[in-house]
Amino acid sequence: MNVRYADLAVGDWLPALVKVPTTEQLVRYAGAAHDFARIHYDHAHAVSRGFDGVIVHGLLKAAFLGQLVTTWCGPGAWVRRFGVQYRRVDFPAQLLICHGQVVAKHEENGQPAVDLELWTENPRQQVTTRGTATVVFTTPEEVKA
Amino acid sequence: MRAGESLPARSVQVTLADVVRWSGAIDDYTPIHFDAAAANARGMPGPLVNGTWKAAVLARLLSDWAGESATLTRLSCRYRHPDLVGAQLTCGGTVTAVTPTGGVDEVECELWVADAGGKRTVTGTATLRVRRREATDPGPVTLATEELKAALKVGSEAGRFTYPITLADLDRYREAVGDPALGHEYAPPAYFGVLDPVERRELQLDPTLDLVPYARTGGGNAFNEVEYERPLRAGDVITVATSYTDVYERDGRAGRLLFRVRTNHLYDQQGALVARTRMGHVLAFDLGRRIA
Repeated sequence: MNVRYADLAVGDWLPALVKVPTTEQLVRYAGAAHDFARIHYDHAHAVSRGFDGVIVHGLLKAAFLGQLVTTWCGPGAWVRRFGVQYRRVDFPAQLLICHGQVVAKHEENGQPAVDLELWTENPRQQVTTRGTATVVFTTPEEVKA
Repeated sequence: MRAGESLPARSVQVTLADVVRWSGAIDDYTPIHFDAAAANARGMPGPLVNGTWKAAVLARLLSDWAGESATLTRLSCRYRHPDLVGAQLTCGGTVTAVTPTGGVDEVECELWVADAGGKRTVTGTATLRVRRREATDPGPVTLATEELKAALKVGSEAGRFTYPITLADLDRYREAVGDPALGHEYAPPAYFGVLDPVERRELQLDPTLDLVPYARTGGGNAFNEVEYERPLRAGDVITVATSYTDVYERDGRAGRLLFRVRTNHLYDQQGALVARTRMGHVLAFDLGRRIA
């Protein structure tokens, strides 16, 4: 999908992205990100830390929100600013729904841009990650190196 | 919370389903809110949003913002203009006064709902009672000691590491995330999290935490942020310079929390700055359990 900047309005929702992280996915992410904190793959360790089981990497949830944004904006735009705060832990085999909404349209260094609010929601409809992003509507090739 | 502080504005699109649910929930079946013909007969182009629904959205804005330690004790709204079902509305507010009384702050707010043209269709005021965290005397105890800050080299560079980015690296990451954009040469936005020497355990200042003489009860990443000068791409060779910029503590539900914030500057193979990141980590300690 490629949204057109002219068609965007404050309040627009990004199509939600639904994830159900698996323990295999956590291990794959650990390998891809070189992040081998045991809380994400060692059940006994996670239990000893007071959790019911292993927990999803915060940065994997950030990656899900990144996918939500890039799938929506397509290759004609790029993410200039991106930030997340982790509010609650998430567990594998549980629904994790990624949401986003346009909260501002403006110019960034003379280029068309939007600000987004992003969040992940667990099956109890609690917000577990809160984020923001600024998407600039020029292709990456047009960005001065 | 301080006088003058803005509440985070929020956008809502009101659907017919919303107002029908609302009619059912409050048992008010005035047809003007869901029956287009009834609305037309009253000279309106379509069904109108219930004023009380807009008030409820403002109440929700307040309670989400103020959190669990707050109670909404008063809410007053004036419905100045009708809004049509389907309208895009924005809600917001401002803190107008904070008055400490005993262990509680009385927080006064002004609230508003605006339509797509920016016209304020609802204005209101509210009072919140917000419990202050009990001021347990922390005594001489602090986690964020000068000794710890010195061990973390706060304010100066703690380490520098170089990471080449290949298309295979990006695709392994996308496969792990479940992102179907395989083969795309530009890195996904959250890829900065992979280029962090602390997450990768290459920069390990954790032994400095032995300086903290209390039992650790939990912790994890608190936040991650990035600002890019340009997108990262396959073929880049990125050098990351890491500095701890801030070490501070505060009380939370899990005990005394120690925050360590580090900043990464990411430079490319030409030495140009590509991105700045801020990574926040939090650890919880039980100040009642002193360890040797």
